[in-house]
Amino acid sequence: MKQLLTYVLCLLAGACAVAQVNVAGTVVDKVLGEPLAGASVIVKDANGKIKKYASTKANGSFAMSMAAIDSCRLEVTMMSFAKQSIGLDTATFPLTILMEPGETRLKEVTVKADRIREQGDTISYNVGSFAQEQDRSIGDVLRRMPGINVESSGKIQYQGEDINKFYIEGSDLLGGKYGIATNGISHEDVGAVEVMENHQPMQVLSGISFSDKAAINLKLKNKAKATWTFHGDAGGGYSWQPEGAIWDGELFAMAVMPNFQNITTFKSNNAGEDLSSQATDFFASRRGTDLKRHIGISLPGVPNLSQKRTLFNRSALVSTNNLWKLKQGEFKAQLDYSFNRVTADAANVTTYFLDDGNSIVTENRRGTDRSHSLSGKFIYELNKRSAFINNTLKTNIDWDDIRLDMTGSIPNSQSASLPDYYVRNDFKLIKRFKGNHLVTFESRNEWESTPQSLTVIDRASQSISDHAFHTLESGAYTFSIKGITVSLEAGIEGYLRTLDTSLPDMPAEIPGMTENVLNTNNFTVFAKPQFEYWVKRVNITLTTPLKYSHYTFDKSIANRDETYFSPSLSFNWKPNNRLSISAGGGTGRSPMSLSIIQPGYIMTDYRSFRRGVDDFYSSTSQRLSSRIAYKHTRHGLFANAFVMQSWSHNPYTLSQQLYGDYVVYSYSPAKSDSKRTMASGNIGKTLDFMRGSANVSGSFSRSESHLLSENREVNSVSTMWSVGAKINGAPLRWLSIDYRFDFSSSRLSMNGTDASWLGSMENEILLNIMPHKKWEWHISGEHYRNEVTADRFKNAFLLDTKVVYKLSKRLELSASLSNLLDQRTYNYTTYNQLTSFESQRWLRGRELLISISLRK
Amino acid sequence: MDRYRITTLALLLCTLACAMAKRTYPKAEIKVSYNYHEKFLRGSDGIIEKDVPFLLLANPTKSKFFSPKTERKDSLKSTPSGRAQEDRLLHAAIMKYTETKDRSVMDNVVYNTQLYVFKDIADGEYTVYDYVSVVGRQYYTEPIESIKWEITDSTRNILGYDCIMATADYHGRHWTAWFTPDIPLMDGPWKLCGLPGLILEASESTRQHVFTANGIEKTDMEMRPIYNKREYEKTTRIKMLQQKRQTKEHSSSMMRAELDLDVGPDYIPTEEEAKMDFIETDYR
Repeated sequence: MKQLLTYVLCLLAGACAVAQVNVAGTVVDKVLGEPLAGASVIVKDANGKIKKYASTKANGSFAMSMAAIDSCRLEVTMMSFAKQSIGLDTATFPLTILMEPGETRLKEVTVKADRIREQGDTISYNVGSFAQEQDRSIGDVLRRMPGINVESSGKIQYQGEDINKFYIEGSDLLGGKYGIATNGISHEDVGAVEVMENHQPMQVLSGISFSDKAAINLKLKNKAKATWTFHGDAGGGYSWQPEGAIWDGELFAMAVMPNFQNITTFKSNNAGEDLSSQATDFFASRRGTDLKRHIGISLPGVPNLSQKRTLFNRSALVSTNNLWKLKQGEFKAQLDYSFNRVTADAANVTTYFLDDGNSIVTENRRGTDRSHSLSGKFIYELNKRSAFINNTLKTNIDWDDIRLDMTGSIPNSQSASLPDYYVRNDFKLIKRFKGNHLVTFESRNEWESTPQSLTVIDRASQSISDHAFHTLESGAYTFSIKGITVSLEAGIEGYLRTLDTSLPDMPAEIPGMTENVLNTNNFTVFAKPQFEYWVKRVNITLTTPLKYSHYTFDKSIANRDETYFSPSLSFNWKPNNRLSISAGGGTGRSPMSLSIIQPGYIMTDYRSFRRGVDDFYSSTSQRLSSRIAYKHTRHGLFANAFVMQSWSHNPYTLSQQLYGDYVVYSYSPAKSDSKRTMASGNIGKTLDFMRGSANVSGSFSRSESHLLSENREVNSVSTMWSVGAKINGAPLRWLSIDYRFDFSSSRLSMNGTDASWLGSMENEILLNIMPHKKWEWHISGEHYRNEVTADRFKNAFLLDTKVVYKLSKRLELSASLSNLLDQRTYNYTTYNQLTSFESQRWLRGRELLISISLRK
Repeated sequence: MDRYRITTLALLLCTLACAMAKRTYPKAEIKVSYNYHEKFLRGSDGIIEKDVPFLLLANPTKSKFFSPKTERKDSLKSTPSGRAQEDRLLHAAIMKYTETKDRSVMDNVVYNTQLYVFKDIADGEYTVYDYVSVVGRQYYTEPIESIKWEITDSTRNILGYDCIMATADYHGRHWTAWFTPDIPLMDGPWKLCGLPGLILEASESTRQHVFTANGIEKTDMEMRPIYNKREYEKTTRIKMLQQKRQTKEHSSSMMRAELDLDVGPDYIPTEEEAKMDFIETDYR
């Protein structure tokens, strides 16, 4: 028995021994005959699954013991050697594997800085990793960065909110005119775009007063620092409509020195780019002079097509901006001049919807608008932890001459001169003492004059002289203890305005005065207490402004005394770095704009007359809004959503009356309420696999308002929603793509009767093919599909192409052919309050432009 | 005669300089950039998430895992003029920080990490250099233990490479790694290695520590040893971790004791915060 047991045991042990195979061997360099250490040895089964693996030791040997090796293969790999694969079924161990030199193919993914990095409250976007070959300016690249949105006007938003500062290497050279930088600075000179969240531009307030806005800082590459950089483009060519020569040129110079910064640019074109918007001051605060343009004539526009297709222009822009750092503070001087001459043609049929039948007016319009704008701004600023001083002197002189000729129901020629002269000085001083006590003094003085005139040739002439002076002086005391900040601001405000208008030849059908001579003045005393609670990640701010105003109207209306109280509350919570939630609301009473007081008629265009109110009113309003923003920088994900609801109640209502072909707008003392709902959302994400990004957005708005038309109350509701998507990237080494899609739909309902939804869709694609590093070939197209009336669509397809040849890093030649298919007209219909509007418009025809670009 | 002497001296100096310059270090064959995403507790600030870019330089027998920014700073600090420059930058940043309380100002001058891992696969050992607050710079060398990786059937594409998932317990945490047999290097981020292919992504089960590759290039860069080695004090792995824990929990009292600096009482973390721990937890 014992023997048997021993025998069985031996047999079992033997069986086990047979089942275990010792896969062993040595890996040797075939050329040198030396053993290879660190080679990877893998045994895979018939399905390619890894059964066992090892690496070779210093003497090149390896050993693995395996249960079974049927139909297994042994693979040996090592960097810089060709892979060896041996079937194990017939192999005898130990093996000797000879490795032949060979290339290990790597799918290389460039090792580089992260595309987006987060350090505290600063998010840094690596410009090189977002730029595509077809990009020129830093603005082109900003549009590709998730979280950042550049509106068509050039205004920049971060997570759906306007930015509050734009810095270049930490200096605020341009203020709100950052369009000069985004359209001018080459992206190749910028290393990174930094977004500073919750940026408080006044250091004296940092840690005391919360800011929910972000600022942008351009970090330049070393090659662009402490030197002058230049670049210039010059292009000329031929256009088929308007027939003739075209040009497009630009010169740009920038100096970023330790104690001096300058950006000077000159641009001019007649190729469809309006340059005046590039010098717009996006941070300009509302003018306290509160004058408005009474004359309402303007050139016909084309709302659904991009400007470069429809603008017949001659434009020029000169801008020079300087910043000197002084021992104490800095001094800035900015000068801008822009010229814009635009011509437009249109054929329109306007239908007024009235309860007793529609009224139709046909007109063909042809006009020219010449505008010049000259502005200067001089700023001294000291921005320290202990004190803040800023004095800004600003002047704007604008001339705008419009000539509009019309044929049709009422043939006429109108000519308007609309100059605007404006001077303003702002002074602000904040001093910090004993740690967290602040004293603020502020003084603002503004003067504006707008002598406007409108002549309907051989018929009527309207002249208007409108002047206003506004002054505000205030002082504030603020202290902050353990996250609670209390501030009390008090001040006085004065406003003097004179309006003088005359209209000698008024159509006989319309009853009423045609002259206005009035002074609308007021004197206000105000107090504005503010409480702010700011601990860790929560901020709550309550503002309770109280105003007492005395109004004098120089006998035309009885003098008035009014008290206004308009509290507002805001709340912000940042539970962590990624999420930010804010909500706010306000309610209050406010005086109407004094520019509405106007008992006599003013002719606003050849067939419209407007009269204001003949009494003083106050309106009330309420507002609620909420915003949420989320970001995950490592995944390159940014999202935000915003909702807002507002109500306003006015004791007066706009009314519209027809006298023959004339439209008369006036205000009636009837209550009018309006309500507005808005919601929008946006999600942006980097697409690292193709060095690109994508963005999806949506918005909804609904507004409800009342007006009186032909003595009947009209309740109108306009609803609009839109969705959009953008994607860009370089999926292949020789190809990059930009694609954009937008769809919007709107509807106007009146007194419960719904008009149909009208949708408009736009697709835009650009393919950049790079067959060789010196060559680029762009093919781009835009497709528009606009719903003219219910279920009737108007399609437009526009195709462009461009060839770029890069002679060197400094010199580039290009030839572009836009609107290849030579589409010359575009028709559409829109709805505008109580009217429908059918029109035919003209497009820029085929254009050939040959350009040369130089850079230093 | 004098001229002859000068020439000889100059020649000698040149040869010396050349000899010094010629000192070569092992060359890497591949350069892989990783993002190290780390969650940790920063006193009363709560749980902070941090991303630190790391680089792995590797050839079949040796590798170096480090932060290029840290190495640049260390290289500056290895010369007197560089040290002076560093001091100036630090001083300027501190001034600006005290004025603006803008933390990002400091982020540019302070170390984001001081970790270096040098692996020598042929010799079977690795050396870790790191910094323990208050205590100072330390290093230890340990044998590379073979990690008991379990290869699974899951596959995924990372940076264009087909990767296979493997899991293992290592130094107190459960790790999931994605490796690609297409890159025949048995290496990976931090101390992780021993799979039949390069590890492109690795995370431990609580996702407090995640390494993700975001770039791969061929290279012939040298794997230079650490700068200022003399500044590092030799220790053991467990000792270093225990000291880190000690300083983390009692930083305020230690500062008081060592530097006579009162920074308030030690922060007592919440339950959630107490779950945060180092990348290795087997020291407890």
